[in-house]
Amino acid sequence: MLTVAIIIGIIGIGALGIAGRRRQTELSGWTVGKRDLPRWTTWFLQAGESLTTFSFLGLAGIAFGGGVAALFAVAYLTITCILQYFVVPRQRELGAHRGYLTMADFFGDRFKSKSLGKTVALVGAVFLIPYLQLQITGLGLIVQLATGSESARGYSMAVASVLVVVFVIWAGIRGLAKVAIFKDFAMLAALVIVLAGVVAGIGGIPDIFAKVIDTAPDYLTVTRPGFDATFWVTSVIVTSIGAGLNTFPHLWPPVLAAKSGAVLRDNVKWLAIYQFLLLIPITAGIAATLILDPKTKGNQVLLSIAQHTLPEPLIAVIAIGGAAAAMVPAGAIAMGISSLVSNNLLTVKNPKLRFRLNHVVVAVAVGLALVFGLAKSDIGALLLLTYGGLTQLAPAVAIAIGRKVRVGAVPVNLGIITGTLTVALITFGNIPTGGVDSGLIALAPNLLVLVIGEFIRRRRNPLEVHDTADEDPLSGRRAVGAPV
Amino acid sequence: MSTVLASPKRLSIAAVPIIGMIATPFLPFVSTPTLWLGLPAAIVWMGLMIIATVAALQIIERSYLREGGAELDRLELELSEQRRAALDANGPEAH
Repeated sequence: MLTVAIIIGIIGIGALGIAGRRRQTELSGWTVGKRDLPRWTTWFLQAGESLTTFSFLGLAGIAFGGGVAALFAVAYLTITCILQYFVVPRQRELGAHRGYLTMADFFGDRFKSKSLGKTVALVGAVFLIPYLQLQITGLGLIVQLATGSESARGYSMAVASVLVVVFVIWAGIRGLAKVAIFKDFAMLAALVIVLAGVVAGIGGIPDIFAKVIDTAPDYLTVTRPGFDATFWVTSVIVTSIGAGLNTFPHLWPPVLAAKSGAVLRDNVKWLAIYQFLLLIPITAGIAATLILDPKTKGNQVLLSIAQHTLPEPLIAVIAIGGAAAAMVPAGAIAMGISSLVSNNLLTVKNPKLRFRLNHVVVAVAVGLALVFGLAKSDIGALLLLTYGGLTQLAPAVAIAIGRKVRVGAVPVNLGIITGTLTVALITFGNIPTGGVDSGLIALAPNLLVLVIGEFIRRRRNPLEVHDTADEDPLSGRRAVGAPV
Repeated sequence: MSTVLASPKRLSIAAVPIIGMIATPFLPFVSTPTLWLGLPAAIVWMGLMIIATVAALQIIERSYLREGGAELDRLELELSEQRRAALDANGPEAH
């Protein structure tokens, strides 16, 4: 019965994305609409990254193992809002003026280099596949934990994947926005239910923490093994840099589609409030240390505690909220991958053919992620590269949002490649870093190669100044550059 | 007076909650197990930092709008309307 209710919920989420929307017929409308998305639509799209399967499965698990160190996610998401306040209006401004559809368009145009655009598109598309698999696998895990059925896991993953493909292809960014609105309310309901379950099943919040301080006081400090101050500082800094400078390709369409920079500023100046919701899974994770077996796997903590404390119908609500938390990011990631491939990697002149190919890429990307997920393939190591690797684009973003771009594409490209290879070397070579985030370490050689490369470029071509000031009358005045 | 959004003054205001959050593990009430109002001090501190972030961004926004940003916003909206009108007349954006 629970499985049926959850599958019906998942189908409802997919139907919501299609209902009342005309089928999109060309790539720019599908990706960024008419660049006129109003405040609230943009709000829910921008909020997408705050509430994902990580909020459901990951955060409670980290709190279960690391106590209040799990607050590092609240810290980096809040800092991201601050950085994005300054950065994304400029990215949107350039996008509207120069007609960008993807992050790779931005790189290719600002550095006047198609090869840099293609590198960014390739790196972005490859690194997003594991992130897509994470969402689909997370959805399956939520359903499996809620129902206790292995087959329900597979069915739910397949149904949700098909629905994501259908509503993303059909309605593009506007369909995604509609589902994102439902997702945020469903997540809010699910998290409040979890909190109510914790209070009803274990005790009042002050009682819970009073017991924790008596039994395991280190859960209330940032000192647990693997979750110390070094972990906190480096993880917060590197993730804030990556997310704050908007280096994730799937987060670009909401920015490019916004009606104005003012809309984006208005949103991010309030979006930090969302992070209060993340305090619920963190509290639940710490409370779980009082009743769950210490050997419980991290990503099973939230639903295990819900099963200990809540009746079946409420478990279904939580599972549907979790499914929505997976389907919206999955849709955004599929859009991100397909637009990078069809718009930047493939050279197709015919717009209709390009749009059809784009649909094929959506289906292939989601299909691949589903197959990896069903086969339980371990591409998790690649996911470690996703965060650290994409953060290597941050120096280039910082250079490119300036009023004038004075750095060459080749040094930037070499810096990105060096940084990404460094992250890969540390990750796959199991090189000990003393708790310092590999993405942060890799930024050092990235910047070093960039600086040396640019020095050599200027020495070899002293007369060739790479200067790509854009012609927009408002260019850069609101973000960076010279005052009016 | 500056219409540059990321002016040194505005960046300084924005830096306050950022430093507060990064420094969290080193704060005395976080490095020793402490409860405030029945909650871990780290959770209360992070809640305060969220509020500080919203407050800082409101102050920055007001300063920006007051010092010429409102006019730039109006011009940007006008420009966007013109682009949309051209888009409606000429069909989808070419790439």
